[in-house]
Amino acid sequence: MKDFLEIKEIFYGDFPEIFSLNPRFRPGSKKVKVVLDVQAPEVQKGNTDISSIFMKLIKLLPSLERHQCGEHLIEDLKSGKKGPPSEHLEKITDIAHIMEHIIIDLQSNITGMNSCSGITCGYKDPYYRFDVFVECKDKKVGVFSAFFAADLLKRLLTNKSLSRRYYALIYLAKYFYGNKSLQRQTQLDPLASQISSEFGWKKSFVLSLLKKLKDFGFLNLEHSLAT
Amino acid sequence: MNDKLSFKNPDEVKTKIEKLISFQEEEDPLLKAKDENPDNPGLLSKYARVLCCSFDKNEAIEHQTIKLP
Repeated sequence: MKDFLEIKEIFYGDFPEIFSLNPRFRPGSKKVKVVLDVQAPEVQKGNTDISSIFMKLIKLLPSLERHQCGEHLIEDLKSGKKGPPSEHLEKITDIAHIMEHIIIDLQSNITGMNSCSGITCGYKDPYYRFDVFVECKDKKVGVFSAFFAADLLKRLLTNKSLSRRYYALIYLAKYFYGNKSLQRQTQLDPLASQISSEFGWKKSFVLSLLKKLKDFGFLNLEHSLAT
Repeated sequence: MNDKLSFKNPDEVKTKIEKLISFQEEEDPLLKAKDENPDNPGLLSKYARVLCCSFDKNEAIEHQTIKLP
């Protein structure tokens, strides 16, 4: 079955062609571009109450509450005014838009970026496709943030609750970002042991997190996972 | 130059994630495409709507919608 929220492609680069679409884009800044399909029929079966999803999100990413929106999306979500989107297009646009917020928030949280700008562009055809551009300080963090945001939204859109794993993944990503030598570590088992010991987390839990970080493009543990 | 990561099948994902992580630069077809260059006003014609936002540590994130022709 086709995924209802699917990252089709990820690009990394300058994208001068979209520079003028956000006056806050810094000249020459690198960006991550996420091509995203939000398939409405599948979404309709899940939880599309964006307000309830937002309330779960701010537990994980409290700074989302500080966001202000010309479209009043964030204000409406905070005040509970935003009900289930009445229109199909608005529904999938909200989802893509929230994904942009998550990517911005994650990158700011992990890398400590002083500023970060982005745009969400909805296609004319197909109407369910979006290009999400977000300024990116670190390519790996940008890719990780996109994967993480999609994984998180898929979970919340299917009425699942936030698990401890998401908190721990952000914590670990931040930890690895500040420890470049650890990022180059390719031996899964010793790395898991080290982190387990340092944080007092169960090794099996750490192993699952490290595998997720690999899946999300943050760590290169392919060799050790294959052995 | 932009790096491209495709997600059509698991093997391709694996290969391209490795390539992405290795920081090898690739030509981005978006920039190579004949009808897509910064001076071409039709470049963004594929979009129906654009939402933009910015974050600054000293400010809140702002959003606005840019109307496309």
